[in-house]
Amino acid sequence: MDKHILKLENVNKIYGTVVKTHALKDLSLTIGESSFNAIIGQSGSGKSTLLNIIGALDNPTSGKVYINDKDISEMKTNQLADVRNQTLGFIFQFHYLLPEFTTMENVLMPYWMNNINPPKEIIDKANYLLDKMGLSEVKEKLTTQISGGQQQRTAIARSLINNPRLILADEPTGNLDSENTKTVYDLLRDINKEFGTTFILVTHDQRVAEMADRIIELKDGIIKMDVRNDVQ
Amino acid sequence: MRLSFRIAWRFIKSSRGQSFLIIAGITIGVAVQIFIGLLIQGLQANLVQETIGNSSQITLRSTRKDDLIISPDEVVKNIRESPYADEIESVLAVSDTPGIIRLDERDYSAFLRGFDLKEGNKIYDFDNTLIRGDLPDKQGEVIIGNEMAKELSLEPGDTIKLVIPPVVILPKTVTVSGIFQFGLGQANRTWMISDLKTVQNLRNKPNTASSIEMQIEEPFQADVLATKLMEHLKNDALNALDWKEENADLLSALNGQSISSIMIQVFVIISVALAIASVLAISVVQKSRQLGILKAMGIRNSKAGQIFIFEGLMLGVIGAIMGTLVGVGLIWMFTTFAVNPDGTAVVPVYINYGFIVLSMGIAIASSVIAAMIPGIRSAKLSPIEVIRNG
Repeated sequence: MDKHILKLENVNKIYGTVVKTHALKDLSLTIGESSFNAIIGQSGSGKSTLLNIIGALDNPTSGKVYINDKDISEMKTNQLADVRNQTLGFIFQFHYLLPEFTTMENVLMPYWMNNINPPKEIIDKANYLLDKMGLSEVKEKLTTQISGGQQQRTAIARSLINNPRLILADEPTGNLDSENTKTVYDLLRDINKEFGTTFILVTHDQRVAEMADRIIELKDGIIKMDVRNDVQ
Repeated sequence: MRLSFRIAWRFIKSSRGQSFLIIAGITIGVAVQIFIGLLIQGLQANLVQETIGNSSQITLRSTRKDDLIISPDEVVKNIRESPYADEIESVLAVSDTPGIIRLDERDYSAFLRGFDLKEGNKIYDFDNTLIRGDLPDKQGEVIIGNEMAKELSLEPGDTIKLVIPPVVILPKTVTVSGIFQFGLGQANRTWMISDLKTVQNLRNKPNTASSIEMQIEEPFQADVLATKLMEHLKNDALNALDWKEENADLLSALNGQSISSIMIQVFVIISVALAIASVLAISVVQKSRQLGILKAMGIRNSKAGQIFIFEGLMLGVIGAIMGTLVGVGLIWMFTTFAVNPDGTAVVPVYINYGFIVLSMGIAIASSVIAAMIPGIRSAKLSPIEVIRNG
């Protein structure tokens, strides 16, 4: 079996106390190191819930989640925060940049959480990432002053600054036109190759999903389909 | 810590309207506090100064039947060499006696007081209160109050026939060398002041005094110091009286004023703190998206909470500084524009630096405490709520 970065064992997620919604049902899943995965499914299929649990943003009702062979379901809040900061990178559909800070500062933010005075190599790395994302021109601008595509690329650069092993992307292209979608997708694929970073993309864009190495389809909280994709 | 500080500063800078409102609130609160506080302190100091400034704060009297203190110079020396000498501004042996000024048509009752005029200057401030003529420098010279001078049409250089008890003794003649004006009407009407020797001789009671009068560094400690002095002197022929005993009504009035001043200040602080807490609470809701992002990126809950504590701290510091400037400015305007016809301030105000620093400290501390509620809310905020709800 390939070396894996993520392993879910019998994960259940139930929302609500009176009216219970069983969002994930006994779900088990293993994600290989440096792979590029897409999770698809209709609204309410549980794909965002799954991503939030993998991302240590939400706790499973039962079951185990291992990231790098460490059980995150047993961790305390501060340890979870450190896992999110060091091991994971997030890219959200709605960019979620901090409007009070410039593009450059947003990219540095995850690093600042450990060290407010980044050394030169981190600044260089931020510049390299911004350059790669085509954002060199706007790096000193506030994120409210740049376009939607630029914002999403800023979010990608930000997710990479701490060298995460695993990047979780929730509809990263959902808000973009087809040209920007292609650009963003190419960038993600590029990073996957260059840094060996594992990607898990939640999307309902069929074209994006088809470009992934592995496609996992959820329906009603269970895995309906799990295929290796050899299109590449 | 420094990340929280940096984020807090950006939050303050980016929501200018809100920050302005909070700072304005703190500024007004601190300004009102400093203005009212300094004004009331000035009023009280002024009142105390007028009441006891030109009079004895601790008075030693004789317990003997003839009411005389024997060898007063010894007692004065003993006090000056006591361990409490530093706490005493001036100490004065006073010989006083009632007397009658004999005029052609009528008699006028007076009160003759003799003491070391150089030392007495510290209490009676002759440099400012002597309005005409000079201090007595020869035996048989006196200074009198301005109202007595007006009433009896006396000028420096005039002589007075004075009868001193026991009245069988013939009237003695004294010369007016100057005229004083104190804050106290009674003194201006009846007092005649001379040096100790003159009065002792007029009374025919050498080497005695009627009382020993003291002014002290901390007038409000008069009772404590009086007790300590009596223990030190171990002199059964003396007892001590302090001004506080004699002015209990004034003290209770001052106390009432202080309490009402504190009440005003407490309510100002509470309303400022509530204003800060409510604006920052709204700010947590407004910034919940940013907090969710920060948490998703792995900021620890404690740091997320600190952001708002720092916001409170920074707003408190800015507001406290501005409030102090406004408060001191108001006091300055008050003392500059609210003046008596002679140009002196209606209420002379002393800038009490300790009080200003305390007011600033309280404002900053209450800003930080007020920021704790939103701080805790921010620490508890779950990133998933923000991510899920967009």
